Amino acid sequence: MTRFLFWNLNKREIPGFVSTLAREKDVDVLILAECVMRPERVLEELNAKASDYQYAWGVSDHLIFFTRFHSHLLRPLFESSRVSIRRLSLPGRESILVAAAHLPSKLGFSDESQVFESVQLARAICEVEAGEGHHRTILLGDLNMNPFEAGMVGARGGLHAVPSRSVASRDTRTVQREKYKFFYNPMWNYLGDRGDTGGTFYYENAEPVCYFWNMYDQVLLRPDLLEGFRPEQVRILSEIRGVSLLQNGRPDKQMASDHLPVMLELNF
Amino acid sequence: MADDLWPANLTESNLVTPVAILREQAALLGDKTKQLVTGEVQTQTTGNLFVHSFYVAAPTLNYRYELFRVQHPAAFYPLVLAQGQTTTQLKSEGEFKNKLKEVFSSQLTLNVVHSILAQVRS
Repeated sequence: MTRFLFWNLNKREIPGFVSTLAREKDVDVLILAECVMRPERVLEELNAKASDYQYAWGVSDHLIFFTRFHSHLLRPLFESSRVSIRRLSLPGRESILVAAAHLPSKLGFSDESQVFESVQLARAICEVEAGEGHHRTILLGDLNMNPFEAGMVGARGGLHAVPSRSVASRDTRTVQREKYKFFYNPMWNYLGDRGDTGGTFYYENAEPVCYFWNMYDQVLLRPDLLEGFRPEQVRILSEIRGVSLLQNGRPDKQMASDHLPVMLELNF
Repeated sequence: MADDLWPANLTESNLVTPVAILREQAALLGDKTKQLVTGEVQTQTTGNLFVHSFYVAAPTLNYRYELFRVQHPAAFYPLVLAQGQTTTQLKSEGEFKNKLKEVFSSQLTLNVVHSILAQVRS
């Protein structure tokens, strides 16, 4: 089981939390967004007791990667400021694509503009998949959209990420005579209050429409990776070694980050 | 069916390749520096020779420095270790390991590792 973890740090300098979390959860691929700490600092903390983690070089200024595999096994194939798409090729296994993204915030982008960002991301993924000749792709990131928004669900350019595994397992859907590959979005399972939280990011305001909890940090999987996958293999983490990341039931941004980390355990 | 003229023990081998030795040492450098400075080995072939370059690297800076180069034929030994303008012929695995120890302990190597480490931390 390979463990991937994504966390938007909200520019907080919390190397101890990051290191403890990575160690506690046995994370193999760690992806950080809004990390103002230099990679060297994170690396020193991650490897304070054992030098297991390597920095996996990249040019995306919004995302940094660390891995317990040799960093050469996690090569960037496409990178932009906010997106990194990498090939993870582990010995004896078929390679997969690990895409990560930190899409623009709703503070600066309208819903419509966010759809265009989603289209750009989906296109980049499709192009890399075409180059690699497979669709064994996962996407982790702070997409700054909820799972039900058009940029997440829409085909014809969008991410086409649906909440139903059986629907996603149909692989493609034809819209206006063209086929579009699905993503499965297990984050829908975490909307509502069955778990510790109703999302990964809390925002409350006086607008008529307010969701309070938002699921901006998401993990999506292509149907090609769904064999044997259980929704519980994606988790929103709300504590690190017994220390809650919440205060009054919301992300404690004074102590850690205003986003909660998300983790994926994957067999491939 | 054609006669099989190959010996039965053709694929039985417990030889340690020079590149395996280099990769072990490369991994140890990363272990000693919290992966801030790592060793990298890159292999090329030219004619019937294998050429392995050993680098001291700083992954966070996307920088690497070639410390030395090793070349050998299919039979491994004797191999030639080249560092700068100096080349040394080594006739066995033991000689190769002794030479590596000498190279890693040299003032040049220490200077390179210390300098890169300082650069990474600055």
